[in-house]
Amino acid sequence: MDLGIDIKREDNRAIVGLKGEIDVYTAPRFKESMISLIENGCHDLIIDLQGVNFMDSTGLGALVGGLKRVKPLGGSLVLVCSQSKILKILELTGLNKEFPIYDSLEEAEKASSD
Amino acid sequence: MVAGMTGLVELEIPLKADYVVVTRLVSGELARRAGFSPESVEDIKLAVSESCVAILHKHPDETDRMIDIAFDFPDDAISVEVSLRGSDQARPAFDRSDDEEEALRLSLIESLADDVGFFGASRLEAVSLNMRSRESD
Repeated sequence: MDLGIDIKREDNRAIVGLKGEIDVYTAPRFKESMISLIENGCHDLIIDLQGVNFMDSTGLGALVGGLKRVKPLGGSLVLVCSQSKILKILELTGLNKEFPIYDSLEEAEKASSD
Repeated sequence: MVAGMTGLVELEIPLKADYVVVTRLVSGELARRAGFSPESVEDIKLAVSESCVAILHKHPDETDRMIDIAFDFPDDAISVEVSLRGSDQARPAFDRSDDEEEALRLSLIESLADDVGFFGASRLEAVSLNMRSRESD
């Protein structure tokens, strides 16, 4: 199973749409994409997990790494996720308290532009 | 209720990130056939996959080695032993590092499984998991 990464960039904000599985094999590519965006001045990231059907701790590690990079730059990293199995992983690890999580991309975009 | 699965099932994969997906496919199918609920099947897949990743991360340059995964089906449960081939048979308890991603990984495994053991003197070499079926299964 591969991971599809679709990036839509608008100025210093980017929407990263993920599709497939984020695991030990695919997470490095996601991490590299995120780092590249941040290094190129994109400090507000919306990570859309609606198309993700599996995420493991390496995916969580990539998200935490992204958050740690954008925070000191005054940026943000928010998640779009309404799938119970992905939300469960965030809850079990306590990361649901670290990331703002929205049910839809529209809500995340609205919150991000407020 | 766990039903229809008896006997030991063994799987071996190379110690490479590319193959961890295979453990999810196999563990998911075995758990499904054993009668676990869809939610428990997802928990089992994740716990087994994370156990392999935990070992893999501690042995990044040993890609010529193999991971053995043994599934057993005691009453109303699935029991899984994930071990690096050639690991210490004495199974000393594993001393955790302060690596943040490792902490996430091990706490996730502990949250998903009913009983967990981590083994390996300086580097994780084996994980034992036991996951019982729930009333709703």
